[in-house]
Amino acid sequence: MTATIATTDALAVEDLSISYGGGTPVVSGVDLRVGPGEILGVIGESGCGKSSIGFAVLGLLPSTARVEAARLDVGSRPMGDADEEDWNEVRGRVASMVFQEPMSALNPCMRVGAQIAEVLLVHGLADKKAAHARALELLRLVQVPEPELRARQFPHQMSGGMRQRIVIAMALAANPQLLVADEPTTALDVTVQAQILDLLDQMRRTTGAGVLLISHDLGVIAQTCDRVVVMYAGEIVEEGEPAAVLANPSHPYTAALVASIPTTTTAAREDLPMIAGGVRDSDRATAGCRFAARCAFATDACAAPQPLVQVAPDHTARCWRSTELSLTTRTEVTA
Amino acid sequence: MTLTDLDLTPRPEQAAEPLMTLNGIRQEFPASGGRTVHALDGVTLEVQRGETLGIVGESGCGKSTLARAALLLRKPTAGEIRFDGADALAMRGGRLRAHRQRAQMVFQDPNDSLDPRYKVLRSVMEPLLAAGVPRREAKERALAALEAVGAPDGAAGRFPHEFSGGQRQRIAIARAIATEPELVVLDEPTSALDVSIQAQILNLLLELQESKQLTYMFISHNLAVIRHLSHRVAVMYLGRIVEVGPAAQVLADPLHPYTAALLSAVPDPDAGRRERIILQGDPPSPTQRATGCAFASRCWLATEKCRTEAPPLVHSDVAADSHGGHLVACHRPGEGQEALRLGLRPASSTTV
Repeated sequence: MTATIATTDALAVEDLSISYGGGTPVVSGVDLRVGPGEILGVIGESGCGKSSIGFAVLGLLPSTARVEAARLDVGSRPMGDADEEDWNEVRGRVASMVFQEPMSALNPCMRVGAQIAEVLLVHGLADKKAAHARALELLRLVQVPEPELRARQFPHQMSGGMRQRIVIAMALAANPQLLVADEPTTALDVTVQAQILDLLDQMRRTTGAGVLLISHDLGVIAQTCDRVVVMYAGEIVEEGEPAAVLANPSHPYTAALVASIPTTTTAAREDLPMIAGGVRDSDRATAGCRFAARCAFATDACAAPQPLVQVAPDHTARCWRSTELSLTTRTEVTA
Repeated sequence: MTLTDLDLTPRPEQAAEPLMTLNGIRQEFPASGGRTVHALDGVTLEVQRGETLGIVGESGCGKSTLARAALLLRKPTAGEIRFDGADALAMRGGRLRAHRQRAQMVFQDPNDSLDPRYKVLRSVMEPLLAAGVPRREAKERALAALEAVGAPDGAAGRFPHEFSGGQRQRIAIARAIATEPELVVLDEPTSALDVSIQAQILNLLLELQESKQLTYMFISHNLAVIRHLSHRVAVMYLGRIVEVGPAAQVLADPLHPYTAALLSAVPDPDAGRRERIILQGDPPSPTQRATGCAFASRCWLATEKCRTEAPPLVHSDVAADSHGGHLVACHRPGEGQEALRLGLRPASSTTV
């Protein structure tokens, strides 16, 4: 495969907001940058807006969604004012998607080799013969054993991990600059998850594609990403390198999220710290900190708008108290 | 594997009779082309009173089939189940109904156990009414159960769709504990929940276990959750138990290479990038019953002996405490973890 290492950003988003039917925005003021070959993790709980971002950067939101951005560059294409025709040209070619559930991303009635080749045929990038040869090459690239045999098979003849490899091969077919992977391993077993994360890591190195990896799993993010943004109620609350963000969180939400997960170092059979309450619609509408109502450290000053403040080089948090708080994430086991 | 493979000599610390004993449970299903799926291939386990026994394994390993067998929801093809000393598989009619009050289940998706057209009270009362409890008393006990799980005020008169996923799971737990069971089988009870909600449910389960002296059989693919809740852990692969023992021992010093690989595959937010064992391929089909060790086809330590001779589940000399009930079914116990510790890279490992 002839990889061209891109020099432009895979994704550059400024001040992205998404709303439905004139309601409270589900995503607001989001800035994202994914460099070539970089993996940017987006983490958060249900309803934080992470999947909406993934759909928005591929123009996949329903027509009822209102997407506004000061800048929305996908690869080298400015897509801020793009119509459906522009998106059709970009999707699969400049940017593509790896979904959570490989079975629903694949056509059950079509041989997988033909499905991969279809990407190239639709975009007019190859004739039938060349597309088929490229499909085999892609199956080899994503380490599918016996590619000639597998290309003639249907999705139901494959395991979940093998199907996700097929989906990744399809996503990579046209050499895109950006891969959006929305919970790509959530439906897979942990030993197969390890294989797929390993594959994504190799692919971004060999193809130079940037990856926007959306996940609720802090472990997946820690292990795979170069940088991570933490989303809460539609906005970014913290951003930085995973090691810094997850080991030394500077936003109380990140700290509480990390603390609530049992890991190999939490004390077994002891209560886990919980985050009280839930996200209310009014939290998304507030001008101040959206986490304040659930935050153990909130003061009156949290009602004021909170900008992202720098807490360390390449580490920002949307909390005015982030530099004065010393946030602990867990009760260590005393050996 | 048969009963004789397992050393059942009572240990002093576990001399009390187990709440439930599964002996050589086999569960076979017919598959297409005249083949047979061996979902459970001779499982022998004890569940001690008041403990949490964690069952961990990947999809298709038989852990949910084991849960259903343990709750007598499906009669196993072969094997014996003793519950509180009695032969559970011989129970019929009224005895079986009485038994069902003593062993309950919580499913992964609370929507599976709550009828969307029933108000919550009716769903929680149902197992009590099925057991012949008079309506008035059933209502009282159902309300008490809802209170015990911290369901919101007025929950009883509302419908499941009015609640969040976490609240629905609380209600499903209320339904399981309403009959005051001794054993609760929990099949991935937090897998469908957000992590901050997961913490609430795990805390609730710990609290209920203490206040109601429940015995849990906790099934999950999530090793961190298993470790958090379990006293003992059983690791399943392709219908067999490959390792069982005290949670601290099994998860810190695994003796079976599959356990070691499973542990190393779990992305841990604390560890970040590190050396991992990445297994090649998928687990083989349960229609092909392995003559030797079920894991041999993916094991980097496998020898000819592993492929031809099934290792029995026994105490291992290399266990940290060979009398602590740490059993392993492996011809080369401890070598997988040892290689990782020494920084040796098994043929199938990679660093990412």
